Amino acid sequence: MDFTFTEEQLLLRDSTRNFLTAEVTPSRLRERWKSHDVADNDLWEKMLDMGIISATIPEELGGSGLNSVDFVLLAEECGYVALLEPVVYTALVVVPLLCELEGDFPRELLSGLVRGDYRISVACPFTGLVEDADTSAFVLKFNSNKELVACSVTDAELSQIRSIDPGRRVFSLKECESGKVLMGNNRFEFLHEFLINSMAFANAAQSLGLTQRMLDLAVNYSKDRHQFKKPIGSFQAVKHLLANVAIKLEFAKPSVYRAAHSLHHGAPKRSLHISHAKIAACEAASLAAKNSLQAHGAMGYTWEYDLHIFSKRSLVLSATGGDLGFHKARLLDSLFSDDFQLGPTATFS
Amino acid sequence: MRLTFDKSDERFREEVASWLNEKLSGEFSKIKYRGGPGDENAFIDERKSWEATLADGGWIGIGWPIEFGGRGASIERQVIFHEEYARAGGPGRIGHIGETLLGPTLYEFGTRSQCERFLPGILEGREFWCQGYSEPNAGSDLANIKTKAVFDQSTNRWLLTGQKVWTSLAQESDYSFVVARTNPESSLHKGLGFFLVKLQQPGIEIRPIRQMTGTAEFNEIFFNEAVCNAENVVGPPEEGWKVAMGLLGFERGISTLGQQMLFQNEFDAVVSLAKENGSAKIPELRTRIAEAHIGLKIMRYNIMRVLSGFSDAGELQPAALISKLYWAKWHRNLGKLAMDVMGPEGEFLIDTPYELGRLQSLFLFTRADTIYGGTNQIQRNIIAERALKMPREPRG
Ligand SMILES: Cc1cc2nc3c(=O)[nH]c(=O)nc-3n(C[C@H](O)[C@H](O)[C@H](O)COP(=O)(O)OP(=O)(O)OC[C@H]3O[C@@H](n4cnc5c(N)ncnc54)[C@H](O)[C@@H]3O)c2cc1C
Repeated sequence: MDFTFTEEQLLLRDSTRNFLTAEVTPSRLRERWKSHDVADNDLWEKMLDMGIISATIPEELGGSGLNSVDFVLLAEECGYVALLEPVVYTALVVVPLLCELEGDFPRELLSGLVRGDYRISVACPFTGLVEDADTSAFVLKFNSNKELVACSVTDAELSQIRSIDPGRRVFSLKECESGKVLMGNNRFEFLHEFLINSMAFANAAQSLGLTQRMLDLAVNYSKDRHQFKKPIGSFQAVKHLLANVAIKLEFAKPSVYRAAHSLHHGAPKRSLHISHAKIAACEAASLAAKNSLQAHGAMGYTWEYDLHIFSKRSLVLSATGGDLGFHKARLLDSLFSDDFQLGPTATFS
Repeated sequence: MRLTFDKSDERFREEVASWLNEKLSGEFSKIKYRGGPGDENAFIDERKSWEATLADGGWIGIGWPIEFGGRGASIERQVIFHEEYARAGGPGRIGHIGETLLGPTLYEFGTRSQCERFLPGILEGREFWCQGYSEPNAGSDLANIKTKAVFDQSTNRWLLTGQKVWTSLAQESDYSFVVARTNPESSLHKGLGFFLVKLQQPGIEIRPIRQMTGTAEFNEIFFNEAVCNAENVVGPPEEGWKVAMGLLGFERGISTLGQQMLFQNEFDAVVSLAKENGSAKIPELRTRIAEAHIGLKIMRYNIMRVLSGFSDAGELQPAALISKLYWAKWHRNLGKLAMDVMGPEGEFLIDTPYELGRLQSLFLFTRADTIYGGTNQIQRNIIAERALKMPREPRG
């Protein structure tokens, strides 16, 4: 039993953090809001060069062969900066899904990703919506026969849907039924759950980073802002608001790491672990959004102040990849099932 | 204790309901349910003429004393009015700051001639007011006000210089009541005056501030030797704090009655959506909807309890101190519940560039409820220190 990360994993996290905090600044995000309809290709190219995008692709196909435990820390960093590019979904959803499949075409797709020939996105199993569909060559989705298909985006009719998160680019797809069948419907149940799990996990990991970001903003603000001739951070009420967030965050982390481990090892209870992680991380982010705003007073409620960039992102991550209601219900189903293992020896099961 | 309305009150209810239904079915039907929290900028002109229509019907200031032009309506009737207003989908009120905050403050603290000058504009739905309290460095620490007022003997006028911030609806208002420092040597709540200031004048500039809802309901106001005639100072020029606090008492008490009646509409919208989209079957959401229902009922019982006490004693009881905190928290939770009930669809805007749906507005706007009118933290301090008489926190 060991929850620590290796030196290598931590180094990779640090270099990713340095890159992302320098490149993905709030002002760059705001620029993107203005040009809603174009992706930041420059940033994508840089991340391709850095190898973040192909990080989880097997080494024999040219990637770095990272697993979900290696990548979870990077996903947190992507959350920390509210990265708009679908890097985390590529690494934690698209790639693992393609790796699950047999045959030449999925391998070809993975190689194309490594080379930077194209991007691949994936339809949400709950809403059918696709992030960044317009910049993708292919969309992975289930067709009405419950087969997993790779649709070519050029054949589809896209319409962009505006999100409460101003930078998010999400599309509904029409005329995208056909496509190359990647997997027959005999594996639908498995792949469907696989997809939900990967998305939920990706969202949970990013939510940890977002929570940290909102907490950092509020802690810093509480040191600078004075009322009653004192920093507001000196008032116990403000301290407690933010300490409560720190507690939620720290206690959410191990459940996300636990889920990363289960995913990597294909643990039988991975769905339970992932639901747990999604709930814990999104609740931490939700508390951070609420309490950080409270600690800022009216300033935090403005458009110009950066806090809402992160709180709106966290809202979307919580509502997608299975919302709170879905994951709580799934967790309960699992708890009440007859073969659920209870008792002290089941602590880590 | 008496928990029903009597016959004449019920007749009053019918009167209100039929008037509202008639008026909201014609030219004003398009502003039904509009202009509420998060939607304050919608249909400004129409909502201003709606105020005049309300005034014609005699529905502004119904709770004011008859001698000041009101109807002297009982608490029960005010409740009935607000219930029916909410039920009919009456639009968000632009005149509420004048009606519920300044008006009562003027007849409580103002002179006869101030009442004669300013109350009719409010009652007739002609003149709109905003609240110039907060400044960049005077939020929770309101007494840290730096805007200064200098008396010019030769013209018998005060000249105001400084800045206010977060002023709701300033861009749509004719006047602001402004708290400013009359004695430059003074500090904290001494040496402050309460000024009634005309906004359309050369010494004043108003700049909207965009909120995270995408709309700009609040503003910055810059004063550069803005003029206020000597007769438009409420109370003695060095004792405006008392007036300002009197007004806050109204803000945290009876003024929210109308708003609280709207909560029922919002709650109903959440419940019907939950039934429609299947959320009502999800255990997590069922539980929270039940809690929201309980909270809403408690809140309404409590406000009735507090307000009936208010009419007897003429002054808010300690129980009134809890109401701002309670409704603000309840409302913020409802906003979150609404988002969770919407599920993954909750993120979709209804229009470009950034038009929020009703429940999204509710979610974002309720994040401000726990801040304006005294933050939750300040409310708890007030409860502890004034109601429970606990020792004061060391300040300053
Ligand atoms: C939507 C909206 C509309 C508004 N409309 C108006 C208006 O029309 N007119 C007007 O004058 N103002 C208005 N305000 C301003 C509002 O009154 C202030 O935001 C509020 O008083 C808090 O002040 P602040 O924003 O400066 O926060 P701060 O006072 O800086 O507070 C920041 C944080 O510190 C905490 N804090 C501060 N002091 C203490 C303490 N002693 N103990 C414990 N915690 C403390 C607060 O609770 C908060 O969490 C509006 C605000 C909003 C959000």
